[in-house]
Amino acid sequence: MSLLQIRDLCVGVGGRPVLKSLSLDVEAGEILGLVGESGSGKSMTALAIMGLLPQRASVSGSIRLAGIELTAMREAELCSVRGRDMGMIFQEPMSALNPLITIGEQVAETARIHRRLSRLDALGIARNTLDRVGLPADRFSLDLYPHQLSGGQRQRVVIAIAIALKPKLVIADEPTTALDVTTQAQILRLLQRLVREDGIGLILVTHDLAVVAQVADLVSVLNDGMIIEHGRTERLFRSPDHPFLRSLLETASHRPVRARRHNVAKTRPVLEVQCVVREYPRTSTTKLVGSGVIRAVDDVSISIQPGENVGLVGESGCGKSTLLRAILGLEAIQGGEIRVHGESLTRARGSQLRRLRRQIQVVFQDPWSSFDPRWRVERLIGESFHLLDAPPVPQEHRRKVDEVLERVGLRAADGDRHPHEFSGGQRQRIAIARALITEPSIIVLDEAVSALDASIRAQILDLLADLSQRLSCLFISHDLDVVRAITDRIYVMHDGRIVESGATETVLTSPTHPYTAALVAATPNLETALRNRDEEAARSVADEDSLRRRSVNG
Amino acid sequence: MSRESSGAPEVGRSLTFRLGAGLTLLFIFTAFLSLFWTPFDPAAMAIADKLQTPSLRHWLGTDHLGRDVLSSIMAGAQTSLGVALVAVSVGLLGGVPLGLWAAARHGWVDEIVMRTNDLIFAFPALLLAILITAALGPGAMNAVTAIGIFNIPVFARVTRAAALALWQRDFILAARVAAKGDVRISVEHVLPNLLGTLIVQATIQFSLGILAEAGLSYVGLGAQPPTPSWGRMLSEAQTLTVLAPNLALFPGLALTMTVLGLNLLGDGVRDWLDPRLRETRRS
Repeated sequence: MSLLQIRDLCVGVGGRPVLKSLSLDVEAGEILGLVGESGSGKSMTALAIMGLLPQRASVSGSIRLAGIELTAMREAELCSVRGRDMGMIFQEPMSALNPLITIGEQVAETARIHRRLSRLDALGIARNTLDRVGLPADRFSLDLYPHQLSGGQRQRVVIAIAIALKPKLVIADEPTTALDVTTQAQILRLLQRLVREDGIGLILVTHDLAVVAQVADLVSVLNDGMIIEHGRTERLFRSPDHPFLRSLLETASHRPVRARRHNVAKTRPVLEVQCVVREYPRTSTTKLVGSGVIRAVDDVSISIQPGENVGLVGESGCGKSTLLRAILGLEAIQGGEIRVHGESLTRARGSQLRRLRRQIQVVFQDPWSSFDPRWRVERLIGESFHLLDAPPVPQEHRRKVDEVLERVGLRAADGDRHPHEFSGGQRQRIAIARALITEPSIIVLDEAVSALDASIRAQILDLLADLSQRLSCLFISHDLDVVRAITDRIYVMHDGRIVESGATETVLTSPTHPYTAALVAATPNLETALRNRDEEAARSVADEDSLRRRSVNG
Repeated sequence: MSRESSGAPEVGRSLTFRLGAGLTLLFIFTAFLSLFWTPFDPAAMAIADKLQTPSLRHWLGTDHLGRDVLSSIMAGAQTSLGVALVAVSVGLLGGVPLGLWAAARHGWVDEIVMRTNDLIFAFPALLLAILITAALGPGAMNAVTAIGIFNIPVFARVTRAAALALWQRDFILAARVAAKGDVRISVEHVLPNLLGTLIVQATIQFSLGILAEAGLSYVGLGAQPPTPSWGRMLSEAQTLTVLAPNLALFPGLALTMTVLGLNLLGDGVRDWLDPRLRETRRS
């Protein structure tokens, strides 16, 4: 009998079916990858198992954990199961932890509630658990607060809370989505180790097929509230049956078609960033007077030729966002110069500054916060007309907006609607339209496709590839796959400095700087993951063979 | 995960909102009606008819000078509405620009504006009101000034807090990329997105203004006779509570209902604008 057995689970919210007759099994010591695009019902499945569905949700079917039916339980009974028999790991570790309570107390809380242990015994359990998740006592005291830890360390605390009482089942809902790739690799290794050691059944909910290919033993693919395909990871990814999974796999490894420019003529660069330095005063909590400065951007130089696609990669905190704000002219720089078409943006004032800013436009990461919710699309896109010396008359205004909307694959009539009426992918198209309206020579894309589903991301990348025939793009991203798909050259940024640069393929296939190498190695890749699995399988077969031979011989 | 599209109560449907809006409208209607018509002249004395209990002629009875209580309450509504309206306006006009300015500029502007606010906050409101009226003489106008000044830091704080959160959003960054200045961004993007918060705060300050005016009139520093005022009606009724309890009951009831109505209205609007409910509406 399986550890977790779900049979014919149907969940409806507000009369709308969210899960349709879902059945799945999880065995102890196994990782089940639950994949699907946003809205497919994967988070709902996780919440249904935990008994945390919204109150007005209607549930039918059966969920059995180690033979015990969960759907029939009352809230009080469920509370005794949650935390003790099943744990949950959330996406955003900062909001999953209470900022006012020490990490020791937070891990100990579960033990105190379920085992009624004394505070001291519970803290003992907390200490052991934190040691196990890689937060050893000598550097990570129980008295630390969440804000004193990095994102990855916080996620380790969340994992410690989930596994403190050695639960049978752990559900991890996008546990690494908010983390950098090198941190993600560590967290995934940790989860694998814990599953092996404790014999936990782990459900890994994610949209990232490469992550699943890397760690999951079994995979269930969800679409529209139904499991459309289920099987062992290798089988599923090597020979998918369902057309939806096939298209999902295609979009995940999608490469937009565009003429690469390896030999861009050495003309005057569109954008030149020369030895730029950006410093912040160091704020100290203990001293009233600031002591020293933090160099967020340290002597960085970048140049982009007309029609070239350039990537800027690096992990959070490396200074890429600061550099972006400097390039957009939003922040003063303490050294160096930024030139657009050979003219200094740093020294420009008044109408010259506006003329130069017109040349650089931006698309932000989050399609939800990029637009004033009260404005209609026409007005939003037209906002950049402020950069023109003479804004167009109303009819001209509308015509230009319609034109640019059609250019990004939307309808002219969409100009009359509000941003909330659009999906994430459509909103990102609107953001691109807003960037295009001033006919810039360069667009900066700040993680512009990170928040999108794979299929939508593929479409947006195609659109960008199409547009980049005529203009230059600077892609700021932590996602090497995306950067590889669309850029000609990349810069790798680490601790405020550019540590490596060159043609994208060269840098990513044979990195010279150790940081780049670590970044490349940590990035999950579907093909590499599957190849590693094959090799591992071949190795274990070989091991078994040699073992058998030896036993025959001995 | 899927976003739910239904479930957020519409503003018109919530009972809180409807009750609050009803009471508030009644209050405003009464105040306006009293401009043109009251059953009797609220200032006309008729000693012969003094201290009457409610009757068909005098619906809410008469006071110790024979004045009609209903007429006085109606005219008093006018005073309350006027004073509170002006006080809230002073607070809005003074506080909102200060809050927007502090949020847009950060640094020393923010420090100076907010610390000055703290200073005003730290001073007991009623004490300052008494000081002002003592210096300038009692009267509705001086009461308004005193109440209004104390609304400025309230609105400045609320505006600044909400505006700071908005300044972190990407659409503000987009506006800055379009080379728009702080003032323009504050007016075009920040202020419209703050309206909900400000409306809620305004209804609360409005009811507090009515209470403050009643309080000042009660101690004789508010509207002066013959201008009718709920606070003075209460203080005059105090000595006669045993003899004629209805004299204190009706203006007290009017005051309570009005403040209750405004608070319910504010709650209703706030529920409607709650960011969590808003989340569910955005899909």
